[in-house]
Formats: sequence, structure tokens, C-alpha cells
Amino acid sequence: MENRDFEKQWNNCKEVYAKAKCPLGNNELEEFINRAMMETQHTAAKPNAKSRRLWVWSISAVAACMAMLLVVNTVVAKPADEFQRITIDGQEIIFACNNGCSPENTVEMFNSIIK
Amino acid sequence: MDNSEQRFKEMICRHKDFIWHICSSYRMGAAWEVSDMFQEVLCMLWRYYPQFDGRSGERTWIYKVANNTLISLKRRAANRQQTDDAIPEGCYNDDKTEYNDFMRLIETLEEKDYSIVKAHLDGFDYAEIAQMVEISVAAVSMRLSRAKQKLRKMYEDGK
Repeated sequence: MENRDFEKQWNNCKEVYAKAKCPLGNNELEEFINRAMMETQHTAAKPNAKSRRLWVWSISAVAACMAMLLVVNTVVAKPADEFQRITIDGQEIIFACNNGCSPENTVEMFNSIIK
Repeated sequence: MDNSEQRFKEMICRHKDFIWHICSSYRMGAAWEVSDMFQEVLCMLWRYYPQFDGRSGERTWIYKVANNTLISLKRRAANRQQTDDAIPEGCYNDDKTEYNDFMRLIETLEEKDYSIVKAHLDGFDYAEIAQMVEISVAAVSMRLSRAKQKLRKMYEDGK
């Protein structure tokens, strides 16, 4: 019995929709529409899902490239590990040394350039 | 009058009964007359009209915008006392009090479930509801069935 009552109420709610009637006449409705148009500005259309996805991909790709550049920059062009001093022909040269260079092989390199 | 204004007016004229029904089924209390809600909904429909791309049907789109507008109005009016006079005259043959009690029961549902149940009662099929609330058709069916079960229990407990 209670179940039947519930179903009856449920179905009655569906009937309300079917019987709905707007009480506004044509002129009144026109006034409502005009007021809405006067009072409200359009909002810019949102990008659709496809172009939103494209944007997300583009931004992710740019971010990934930047991150990679940062890593490469840090690893390859890292600051000097240490400074070395060498003397060639009585002149002292101070140079930044990376990748484990030693004064000996640097002197050799300089000498080969001078020669 | 430009083309979009004309098309908008024609669309509203086609669906005026439907929009009025959506507004009148929300009970906001004395501060909000159905005509005020109707005006507010028309404003929102006009505001978002450029975004209507025709992928969903006109009716589905109108319902979605109207429902969202009215839910946010309802939140604002939450503390105000609800009245029973918003149900349009001649829309319901049976006892209004019984209808109001049932609607109040539906209003106790969680917002998304409420939207789904209301859309179902307002004649939308599962696919249309899925588009409105942006979940799958299977999820609509499951949530509707659970909400109905919950309502049935509350209805029977309240008797």
C-alpha cells in the first residue's frame, strides 16, 4: 500500500511537468525577454573540449621543454668546480676548470696552441 | 534587431511553458516570485546563449542553465522561509499539500541527485540527463535508482 502511494506521488510529479503553462501573454513575454537582453551581457564562448585538450598539451610540451633545458643547462654548463693557476713563460694564467682537468694537461694544451 | 536576438526570442517563445515550469517547481520563499525567477533565468540564458553550440538539444541546454541558475538562487534564499504558493494553479489535480510534502522530500537529496531526479520527473531521458549533469548514462541510471530507493524509504518512514 505504502509502495503504491510512493509510486503514485512519483508519477504525479511527472504529470505536473506535462500540465505546466506559462501565464504570460505575448507582450509580457516580449518585455521579459527585452529586459533580459538589456540587463545582461553575453559571456565569451568557452573553448570546446578539443581545443582545451590542445591547449593543455601545448602548455605541457612547452613546460617539458623548459624543464629539459634547465636540466641540460645545469648539468652541461655547470659552474666551475675549481680554479687552476698555471704559469707559461713566466706569466700566470688563472682559469676555471671543469670536468677534472689538471694543470699538466692544460699546460700541454696551451703549449700546443702556442706552437 | 540582429539575427541572434531574433533566434533567442523564438527559442524562448517555443519553450516558455517549460521554463515557467522549471521556475515554478523551485520553491524559494516569499522573496522570490516565479516571475522573478523566470526573469533571472532569461538573463542567464541570454548571457550564455553564445555558448549554445547545438550539440545538446535546446530543451536540454535550457534546462541545464535554468537549473544551475535556480540552484544558486536557492542557495542564496536558503535561510528564508519556503512557501507553498509557487506551484502553478491548475497544474495538479490532487492535494497540493501532499505534492508539496513529496517535493520537500526530494529537496532533501544531495544537489546532484536532486538535479537528476528532477530532470527525470521533468521528462528527460537518461542520455539527456547524462549530458546535463556531465556523468555517464550508466551513472545516471544508478544514481536515479539509489535516489528513488532513498526517497521511498524516507517516504515510508515519514508516514
